[in-house]
Amino acid sequence: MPKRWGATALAFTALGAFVFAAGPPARAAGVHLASSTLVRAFEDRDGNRATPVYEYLQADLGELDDRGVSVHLYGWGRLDLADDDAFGDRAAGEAVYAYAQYTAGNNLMVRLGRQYVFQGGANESLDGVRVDADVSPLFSFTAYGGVPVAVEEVDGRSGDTLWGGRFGHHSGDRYDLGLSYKHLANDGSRDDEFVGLDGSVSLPAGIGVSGRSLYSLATDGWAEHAYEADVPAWGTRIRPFFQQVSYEDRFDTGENTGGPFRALAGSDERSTTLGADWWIPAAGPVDVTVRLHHNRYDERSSATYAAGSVRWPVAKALDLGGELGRMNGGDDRDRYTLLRLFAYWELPFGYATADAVYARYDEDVFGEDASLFLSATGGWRTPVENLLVEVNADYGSDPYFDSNLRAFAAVRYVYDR
Amino acid sequence: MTPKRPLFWSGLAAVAVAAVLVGCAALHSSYELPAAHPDELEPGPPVCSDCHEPDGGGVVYARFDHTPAFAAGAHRLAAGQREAVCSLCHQPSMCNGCHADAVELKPSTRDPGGTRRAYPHRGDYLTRHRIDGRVDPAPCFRCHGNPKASASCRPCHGR
Repeated sequence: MPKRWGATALAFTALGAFVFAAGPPARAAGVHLASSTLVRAFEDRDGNRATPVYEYLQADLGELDDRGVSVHLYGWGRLDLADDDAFGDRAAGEAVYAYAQYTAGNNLMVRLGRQYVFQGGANESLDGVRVDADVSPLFSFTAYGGVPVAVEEVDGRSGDTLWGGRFGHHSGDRYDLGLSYKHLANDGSRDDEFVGLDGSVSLPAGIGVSGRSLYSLATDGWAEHAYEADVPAWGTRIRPFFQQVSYEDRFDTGENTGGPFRALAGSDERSTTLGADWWIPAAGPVDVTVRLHHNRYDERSSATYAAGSVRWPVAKALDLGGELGRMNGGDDRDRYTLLRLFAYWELPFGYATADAVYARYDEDVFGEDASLFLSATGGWRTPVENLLVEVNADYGSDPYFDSNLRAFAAVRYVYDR
Repeated sequence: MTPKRPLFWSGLAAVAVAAVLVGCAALHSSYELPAAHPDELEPGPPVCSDCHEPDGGGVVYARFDHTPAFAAGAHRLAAGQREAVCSLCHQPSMCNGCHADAVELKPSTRDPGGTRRAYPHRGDYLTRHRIDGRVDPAPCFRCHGNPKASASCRPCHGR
């Protein structure tokens, strides 16, 4: 497998290099290319030195501003110049998506190829087909099917299937109700199957309420309820929300469950989160957001996160901002205080930014009670149109690293026609 | 019965249903979103309802206002219902910058100059995730819940 990913990495790196070398294509109506070539230098926790070169490449071709056929590609590859063991057997590249799309009237959209489906509670990468359309002014549907990408590392792809969809009923801009379904099988046996209900409704005074519930057919229980409201008031926006998660029903997706969640899937825990975000854009020139999240559990003590953040455009070209937050869990190990300060300075030839994040833990982690992260970045908009060069240095001191410097450089290029 | 038989019939049924629905779609007209936002937007997070009626024209545009709460999480429900509205301005790479099974670098590492953006996991999140994950693992699960997406978790948590 490493050879295969190595080839992917080389292919994307070569393709990125080609984009730079070739320059604007001679015939390129409806072409969007975005290339980010990144170089990092760091030392990992085991002392391995790494100098990976990344190429993140996006290409969109065809009818991009109108209905018709288009092709969309996005992926990345990595080549570690240090050739040390920092990355082990981790994949050195990935085609994130690569699909052809056809759009027509009545919001009809057909996608064929590798794609992500974020619809009606689904959050899946799929090699297959997806169709979206309105079937009347009151009804719409999404249907998808194919081979899931996520479980390919579990016993190969034979017998892996993913299919589902959403059927929606909406009345103009008043409400939108949806019923969704997803079925995921690994090696022919069901790993994940859920039915989802989602809805949104517009109420008087600009108030909106939306949410969704997921019912796991695999474990026969409600997996998640998530509901929120958007309330405009006094020139501000208040977003109260409610979320309830049953660990077994949400996290037990068979072989499709990622490592950290397997233990949680075996617990009877259920968490309920109540909270609100309050956005206050009218506080003079300062943009303020207040956040309060309170978590309650069936089996453990509750926890609350409270934070306030500000963004202050000091001058036309200078933004300052920060956040102060406090996590107050049931015991000391679940408590910390977070302070972040940042700056963004727009310059005639580019920009400069600075970022500082400090966290203090109520209970030591590996004998340390705090983390400090400092970051500085400079960006230069070169005379070549849409060609940006960026350099960055990070310093970190935390429970995992006594003192750690990391360097980063990027060349970003966008071509549109 | 071999595992492939139900797959075949399920696939055939899905194609048939999709064909009927697409046929229905061809027979009516409803509010249609354009393929792309017709006007170039000012830099910075757009507040859609500044220009559009907040709840008019077939779309509740106020749901897509790029407020701090929207960036921090409220976009999830809106995109899950009307992804086509997001597609007016964004290609899927916008979503996949954060939500993808395998992009290796966290958003704030790939874009360290994006200090004004609501990137999760800034700074030493390796330590903070121990606490945040215990307090509310559901957001972690959304992006790291499957074997491929949890590759970065594997060195400590195992498979």
